[in-house]
Amino acid sequence: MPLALRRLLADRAALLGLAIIAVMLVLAFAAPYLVPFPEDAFDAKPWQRLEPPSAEHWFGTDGLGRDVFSRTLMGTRVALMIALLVVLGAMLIGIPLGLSAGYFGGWTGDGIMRLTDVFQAVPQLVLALAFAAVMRPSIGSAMAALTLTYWPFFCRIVYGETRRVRSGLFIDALEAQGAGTPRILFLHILPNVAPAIIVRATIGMGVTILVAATLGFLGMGAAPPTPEWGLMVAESRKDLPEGWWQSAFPGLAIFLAVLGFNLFGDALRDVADPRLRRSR
Amino acid sequence: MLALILRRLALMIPVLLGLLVLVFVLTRIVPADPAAVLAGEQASPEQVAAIRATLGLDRPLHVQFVRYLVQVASGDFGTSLYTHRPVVQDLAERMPATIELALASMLLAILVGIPLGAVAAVRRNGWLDQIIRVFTIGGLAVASFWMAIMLQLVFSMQLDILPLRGRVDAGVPAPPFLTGLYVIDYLLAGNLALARHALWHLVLPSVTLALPATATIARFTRSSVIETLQKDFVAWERAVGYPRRVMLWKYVLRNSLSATVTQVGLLFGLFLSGSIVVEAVFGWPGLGDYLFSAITTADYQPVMATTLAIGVIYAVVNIMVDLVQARIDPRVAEQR
Repeated sequence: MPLALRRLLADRAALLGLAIIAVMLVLAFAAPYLVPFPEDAFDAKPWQRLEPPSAEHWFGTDGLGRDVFSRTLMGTRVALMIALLVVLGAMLIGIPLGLSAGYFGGWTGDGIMRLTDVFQAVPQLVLALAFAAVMRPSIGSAMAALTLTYWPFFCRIVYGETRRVRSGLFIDALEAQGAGTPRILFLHILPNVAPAIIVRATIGMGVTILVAATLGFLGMGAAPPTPEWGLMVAESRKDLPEGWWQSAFPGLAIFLAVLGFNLFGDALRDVADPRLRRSR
Repeated sequence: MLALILRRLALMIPVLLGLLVLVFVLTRIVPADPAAVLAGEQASPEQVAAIRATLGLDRPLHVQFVRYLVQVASGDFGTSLYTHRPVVQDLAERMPATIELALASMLLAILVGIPLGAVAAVRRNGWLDQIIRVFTIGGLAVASFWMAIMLQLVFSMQLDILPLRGRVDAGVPAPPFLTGLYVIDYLLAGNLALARHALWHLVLPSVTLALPATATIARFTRSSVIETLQKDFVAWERAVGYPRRVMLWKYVLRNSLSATVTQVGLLFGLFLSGSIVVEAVFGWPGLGDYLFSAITTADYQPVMATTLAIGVIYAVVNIMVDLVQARIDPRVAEQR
């Protein structure tokens, strides 16, 4: 077993994070078959409004009589889908830009890096809100807004790593042998940059789940009756303090999901970049 | 030092200009037509067109942008369609509320985070370290809107010991304006009871905002204290018999805070975006609340001005961080 993998598996925090992620993935795929009341994810049942947690409704029912447990579970699908697509989209934009900026340098590099400066001149949420507001509020526009504001994080990291790798002798050798630029970029530099990208993507999943839920909470994301965690917390506010379970459980779900990715991402970073290793 | 400041300020300008272009283009492709919003629902198409012409919205985009730049350069950020007041006036009124909230949160995060991190480092791998580690990792995973609502639920709705929302209760007069920070202004006005009243209102919002920051500060302090503890001078001090307390809190901590200070700058960004959510939940009349309501009502002048203001604050804070860092660690200043 490679040393890196062995170190990862010896880290209790990493294992906990990995376990949470694995459970979430299973839940996301199996949710429609697992939830006790599949129709409750969407349909109102006014005769059972605001019932507290019980053997029948583990997490109680919400202001429209829907089973909170079913909705929270279905929310896993929504959250994971948003985060996966956003992170993938951000990678598709950020990685090529970062590679070119780092490899070509000069005007191209400066131009690209100044563009990332502009996108990072304000916190991500501020810009994402502005992007989301321009489009009609929906899950799609929230995802677009998050993608358009997250790519600079990948671009930055790939840029830095590419610069480091580019100074290696093997790149000079490749150039001398007449290897094409795309070949050098994607077959020789990219694999060397991959560990940093994987770390960033894992942490990015957590960040995106959190920011996407925030957009949902602020009414700039998923529209009712989608079982989206942020939106669920927002909808629950009118039934407080009686229906506390309605706010508590979706929030706990967000916490666990983000925690899973953060724990695992941190451990990955320790393994991928020994310079940054948490001292212990 | 002055040259450093000037260079950093000069580098800030193109970035902020770029930000302005970005937000400008964004706000002009908003599907909601501000002229139509302003004209009201009963307006005829001619009336809407007339308003559009007065606002200059019928001109090409680049002409509008140049006009806007000239306007901004003279300190005019337009008028809010919603409050019907100059945006600059709105911002000036709301800025202190956000600053008060951010300062309180920063103070809380530093006062709790640094000792937590230092203690965790000293008791490395002990049970106290483990507990602090759970807190620092968990603190970053909590959604602040949820935290805010849970705190309201427990402390305002159930226990009824802290106020639910606002800077003061409805009907309580604002203090005479000196700093714009209510707690300090009430104190300066000699009104202890109201200063306490304002302070109680600050508790829940600032705790919410401070949580992720506290976690981050504790974490960075922990790892840099651990690193410092392994340095030779610490071994020397230990050998010579310095009192443990003096050694730790004076020499080790000072040598460890450089990384933490950098984090404080980054955390300010966290506060600015966190304030949008926290101010929305706690009805705190600051910048975040202003930006959010402007975004939801397609009121683009305030959106642009607030985004730019946030960009400026963010950049200035980061320059200040560099300067503070140079003070703490003279080696940093020499490197430039």
